[in-house]
Amino acid sequence: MNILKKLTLKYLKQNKKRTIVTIIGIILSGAMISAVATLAVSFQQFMLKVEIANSGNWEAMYENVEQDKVKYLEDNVKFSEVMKMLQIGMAQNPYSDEHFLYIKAYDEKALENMALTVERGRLPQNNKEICISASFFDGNDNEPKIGDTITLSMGNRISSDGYELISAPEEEGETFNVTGQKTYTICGIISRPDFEKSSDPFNGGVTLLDSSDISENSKWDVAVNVKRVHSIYEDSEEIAENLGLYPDTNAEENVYPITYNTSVLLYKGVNGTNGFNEMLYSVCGILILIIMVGSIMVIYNSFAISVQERKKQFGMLSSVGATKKQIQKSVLYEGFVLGCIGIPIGILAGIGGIGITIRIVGELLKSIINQGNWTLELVISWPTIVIAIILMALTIYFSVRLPAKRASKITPIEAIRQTDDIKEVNRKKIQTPKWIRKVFGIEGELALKNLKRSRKRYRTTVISLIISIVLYVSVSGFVGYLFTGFNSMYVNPEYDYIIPYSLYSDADTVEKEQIQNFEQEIKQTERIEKISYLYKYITTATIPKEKIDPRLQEEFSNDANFFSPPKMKTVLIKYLLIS
Amino acid sequence: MEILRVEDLCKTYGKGETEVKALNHVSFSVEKGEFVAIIGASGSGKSTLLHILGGVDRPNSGKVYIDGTDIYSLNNDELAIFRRRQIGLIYQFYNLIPILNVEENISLPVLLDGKEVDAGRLNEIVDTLGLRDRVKHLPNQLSGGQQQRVSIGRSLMNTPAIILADEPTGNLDSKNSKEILELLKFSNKKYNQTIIMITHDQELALEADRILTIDDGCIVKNEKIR
Ligand SMILES: Nc1ncnc2c1ncn2[C@@H]1O[C@H](COP(=O)(O)OP(=O)(O)O)[C@@H](O)[C@H]1O
Ligand SMILES: [Mg+2]
Repeated sequence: MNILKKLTLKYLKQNKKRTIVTIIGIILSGAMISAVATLAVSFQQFMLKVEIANSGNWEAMYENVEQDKVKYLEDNVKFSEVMKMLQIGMAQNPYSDEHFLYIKAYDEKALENMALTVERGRLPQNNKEICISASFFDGNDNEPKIGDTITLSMGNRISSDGYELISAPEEEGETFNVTGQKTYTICGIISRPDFEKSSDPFNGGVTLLDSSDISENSKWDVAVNVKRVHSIYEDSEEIAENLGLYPDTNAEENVYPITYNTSVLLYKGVNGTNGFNEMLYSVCGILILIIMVGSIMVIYNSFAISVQERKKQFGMLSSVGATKKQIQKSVLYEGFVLGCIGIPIGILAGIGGIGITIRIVGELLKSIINQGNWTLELVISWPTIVIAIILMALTIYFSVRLPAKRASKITPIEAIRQTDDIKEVNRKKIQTPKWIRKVFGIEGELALKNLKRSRKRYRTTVISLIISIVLYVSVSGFVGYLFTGFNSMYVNPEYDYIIPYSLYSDADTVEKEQIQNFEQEIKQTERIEKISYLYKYITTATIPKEKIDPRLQEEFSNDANFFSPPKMKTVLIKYLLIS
Repeated sequence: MEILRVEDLCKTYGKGETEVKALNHVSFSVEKGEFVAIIGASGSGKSTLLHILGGVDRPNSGKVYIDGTDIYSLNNDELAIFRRRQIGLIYQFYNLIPILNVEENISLPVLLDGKEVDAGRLNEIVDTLGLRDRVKHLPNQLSGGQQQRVSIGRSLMNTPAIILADEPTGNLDSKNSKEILELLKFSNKKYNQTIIMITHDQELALEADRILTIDDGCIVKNEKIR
């Protein structure tokens, strides 16, 4: 080993106290950085989990895939998971002639991942059982129950001019062409499945896929998860093209029949961000920056003292012929060694600490949130750890750089002159008031003189203490805010009643007075703890016709009222939030 | 052969009223293998001269040639490396690294060069200096005389062109002083090692080949003894 490295190690071993203090500084800084990063990632993953639960664990869906093309998708190496849904077809509603039932057969994976929410009963276990969308049961007089068997007439909706209709609203003169019968046992009631829009003229039904339902003419919807999520849009289009799924010719742009689970993709960081990721990352970034700046000042102080203590040693080394570079390197090496010890411990401590916090807070959240059974869980990710290590390495590097430079500038002369330390002291600077000795005795006076003598060191110590406290407060504040913010996203704001009030500015004063009286009355009501007011102003204005976009002008040209409201009005809506 | 040549060295400290001319147009030269003593009153500029010869302090003007190299034409790093290889410095207060043992302190110039320590040379030096049973000791476990012997060993280790000693016996009793001087003379003879030694002890100075007397920053006497 290089003699200077050896020397550094020996010095660190000999000055255990200072070494440990520095390592603690590094550990704290590493712990704070990794805690913030880990908490952010855990939150982000939690949000993703909730989003997946809401909109399904899939990323892209190929629609209307023909039977002979399914295999290509199934075997595609770009996919990590393939979920198949067979289009069984349209059925007449046996209880009402207004709505239809549209049935798909899901394979096991699709049942699991397509975000089917069972409200009552259970998911189908064979192709004779069916789950039906809850809205199917609204307004049906002789509502079927779970366990009932229904026989359905399957077929196609045909418009008066002979086209097949699926999602199109019911048309005048359309007919239903019955092609067969199917009998199902109702096994469960589910929330509206993915393929049923509220505007659709049908309700969704889901059964389990069985090979006996597949024929040459079968059509499928195939949902997939991909291996490389960041190129999902390009890759999917390429696959669609290879597959011969051509863009919809009616559409203005070339749109392939692919649906993307955009809300999930956004949480996975694909193509832009949603507000949440952006907020989370920018807050974390700023916080980590603050932590780094603070840590640099604290750790710098530690190294500055170390260099000060070793001043003589560096001067001696220099007189024996150590170059500036060698001395600089030996101080940097000190930072490296302390980093090697402090960073892993710090990162582990940070992850451990936030793990425990999440355990406790997660349990609390679980009991508050009515979002199902997802708990906030600790997510340890390698990228986070690597980033934390890099940030810590930078922190230490910036802390050590200056002391290292200073060490390399120490001249041999400074080491040779033994009396240096004493010479530097300015008499005036260390004068202490007389009362100090009277109150604190000679020990107190000496202590103060010493502080004054090493004023700089004293000042940096105080500064680093203050920084540590500020950092601690801001990190814990951040964690607190994150949880509060999260609460307000999923838990109602804290009020029990809301009383909306509308007030027209042109209304007569009597109304205003009434409201004031009412407010007064509420204020005096017993057991009301807190009243908050929320004001909302809605204003209408007259817009000259020629200022409106010509395309809109056309649209509204008949509606005379639109352009000439009788009077400008300001509406004040006042909410009283009462707890 | 001329190993050291000093040309018109000037060094001043401070400015205005507090200005001190520590060296005032100093010139001389030293032959290889010579043992030169520099004497003078306290504050006469001896240490200043030695520091400038050793390349640890820069003069205001003038030149220093060691073995043909103008040492102040070198940049800081080159000068540090030159010092490590060609100059051995010995100080009154030994200036050893307290956390390195005797062996490591002696080997320091070689180790800083990133070279392998020549075990033969190290052993020879240790034996010559009588430190055989002290090689693993730390400086604070040694007497003053022993510490000074270690720093002599360190200065000899790289077979430098010149050894500069600033009052090497200033902190020692007369018995130890004698011993140190003997060791310096011995290495001067054995290795034909050029040595410049500062002392204010007239008696010790008489052991040298030549005595330079310095007063108020000027060389006032240059007498050859043998
Ligand atoms: N760093 C310095 N700053 C100011 N004056 C100095 C410094 N070093 C030495 N001097 C002055 O230079 C003169 C010569 O000093 P020095 O070479 O140490 O003398 P010697 O070693 O002969 O006792 C003295 O007057 C001393 O006070
Ligand atoms: Mg001196």
